[in-house]
Amino acid sequence: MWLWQLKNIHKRHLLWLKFFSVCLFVHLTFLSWVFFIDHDTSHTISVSLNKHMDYSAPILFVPLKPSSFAKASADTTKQTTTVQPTIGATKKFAAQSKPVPTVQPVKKTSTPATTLTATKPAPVKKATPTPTVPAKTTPKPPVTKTIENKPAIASSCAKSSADKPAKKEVAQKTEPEQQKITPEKPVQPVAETINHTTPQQIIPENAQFSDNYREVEAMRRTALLQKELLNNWKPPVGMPASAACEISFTVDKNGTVKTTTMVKSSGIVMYDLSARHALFAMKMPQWTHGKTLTITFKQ
Amino acid sequence: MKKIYALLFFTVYAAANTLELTVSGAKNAQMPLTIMVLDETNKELNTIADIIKNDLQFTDQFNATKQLIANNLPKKELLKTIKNLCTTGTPLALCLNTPSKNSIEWRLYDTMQGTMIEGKKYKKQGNVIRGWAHTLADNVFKTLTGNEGFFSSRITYCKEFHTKTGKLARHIYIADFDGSNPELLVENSTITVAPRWNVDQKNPLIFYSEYADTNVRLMSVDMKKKTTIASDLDGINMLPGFSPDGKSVVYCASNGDGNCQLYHHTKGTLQSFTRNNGNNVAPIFIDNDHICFCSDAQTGNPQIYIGNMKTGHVQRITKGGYCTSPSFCHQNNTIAYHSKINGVMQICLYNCTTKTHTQITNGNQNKHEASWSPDGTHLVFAQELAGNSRVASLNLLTKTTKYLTPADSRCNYPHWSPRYTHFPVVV
Repeated sequence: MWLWQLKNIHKRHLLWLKFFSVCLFVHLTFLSWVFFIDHDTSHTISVSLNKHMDYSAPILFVPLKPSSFAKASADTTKQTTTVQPTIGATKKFAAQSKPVPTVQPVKKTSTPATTLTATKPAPVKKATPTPTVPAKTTPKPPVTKTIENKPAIASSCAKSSADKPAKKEVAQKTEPEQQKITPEKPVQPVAETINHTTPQQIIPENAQFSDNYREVEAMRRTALLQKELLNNWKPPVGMPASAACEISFTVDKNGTVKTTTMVKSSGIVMYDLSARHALFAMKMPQWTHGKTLTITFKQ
Repeated sequence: MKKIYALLFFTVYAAANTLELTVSGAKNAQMPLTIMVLDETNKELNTIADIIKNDLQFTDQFNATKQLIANNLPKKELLKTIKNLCTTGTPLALCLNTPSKNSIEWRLYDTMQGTMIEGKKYKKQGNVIRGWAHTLADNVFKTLTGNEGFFSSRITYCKEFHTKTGKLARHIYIADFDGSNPELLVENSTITVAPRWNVDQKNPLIFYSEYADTNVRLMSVDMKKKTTIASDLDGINMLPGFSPDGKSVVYCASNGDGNCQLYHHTKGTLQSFTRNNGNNVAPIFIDNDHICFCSDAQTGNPQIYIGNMKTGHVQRITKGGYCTSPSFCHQNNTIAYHSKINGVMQICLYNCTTKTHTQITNGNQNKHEASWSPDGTHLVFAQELAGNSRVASLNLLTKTTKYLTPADSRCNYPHWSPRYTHFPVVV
């Protein structure tokens, strides 16, 4: 047996090589399709009427680490203070909306529908990173030191570059400043001055926000479609609360709804008809053009 | 292995991205519908179309309009006309036609696609045009909503007037469900109260109580105005309730004792169901074995009870107050009754499934004798207004009230009949 294995060892290596190359080929094909070919044309949207939802809530993109502002620790602490009250608001928002919307970004990785419904408490999850922000700010004082020194350095640079003694003096000044400045006493005076001039991002209590720009974009898109649906669909009087129908339709490049297919009927003729007529009366948002969508109309 | 990867690849490709949207604050609206009469010269068809339009609009669920179409219009032109309705915001079109003298054909179209949703040929039954129209309206309503309609039912009520001698008397009338076409059924010079329909759809009868010289006897009358004495016990005999199978009757009678007790008549025998010192009135059957009635035996004030005919067990469902006149609906398993709230009689509902009470009326007018429509979406009751009494209908879906009798007449004791295939009219 051992001799046979020795004799055929090159064949085994070849076999593994072939296997590996096939796998690599398939993976590369799939990845190239995901990133270069897939236009994400298919969407399933579930629309339901929920009288507890607040649709006037703005959708905001709130980055975790603001880049343009001075990254003073007080600034970040103030940001955390501004964000913290909204945690309760987002939690309230999640608590009120029992059929909670899960506005998911367009995930091109394998994300079956079941997993998306499981991720419903996304707004709450979005809020959870913020408590960690204060923890993250503690090591920041060294960063603030460099920022603080920049104006000094800039001012020194604004002076004649040939003024080396002045630079040295500035450098010397900065050095003692660096020595003087401790993590415990930092930046508050400087941060305060910065905060007076730079505008703070005010987040309303009922806002939906995320630190992922793609998520924000997806939320804005769905909000557009929601608004259009709200203007055009009026369910008939006297329908049971559990009535729901699912309609699949195609939007052409001009934004007109072409074909509609009743995927799942509510069992009530006039309910299905009102939903279908609302689709044809709608002005579809730009992002839906050329796509096939499926909407579930619920009450 | 290649096949497995290929399978995984296509599985991922096929999985659609899902977004969930939630829309709030959308208002409900009436469904627009156009009734197209395919023979503008046919007066009968015109009348039927008008009645169907009124019936559907009564429900507050439809906004119906009528359109006359020339006779023998080509099918293509008709489809074009139907599709044009879609541009005006009308998603439904109901076409009426008479293919023969004995039948009426109706077809329901989706105006967007121009396709027929449902169509039936109705063979005329009886001689009453509005009976045909109400039956067609029931069929259309069921197609669109999935629920049985109530347009083929009637209501009965008492109308007061003063005789030439100045004596107060009441006559019994029957009318369509919307109060239209009232017909005098019982014309006595005495007081007649509490008319009640039986449950036999083929042989409609009204049972009422009539003040005689020595007692208040229970009478029955058919559509030919033929009256029969149903119960003539001493004292009061009134308010019969019929079991769903039509084999049992329970009514209240004092039988000379001074207090009203409940009597159960089945299989030719009359038995007493209650024996107490209070007044037990207004019995109704919940099913063939259980009844709901009003009694003041326990608390001194009238309360609502549910009793088992077989075991004799009685359970109180109201907790205090002044509660009377129960009425049961099989469609929604709910008892409607009256309760005095802040000195005013209001209508309340008791859900037998969830065992919860809900007050559904407000205002300063007293309401009496509520009765359910056959489909459980409406209640008809008597409402006192400015010293007068009118019969009103409350739509439970939209919470709107409509008066069915004129303001200048005093009408009370309304009762809603079952649905009829042969529309009953006074002969």
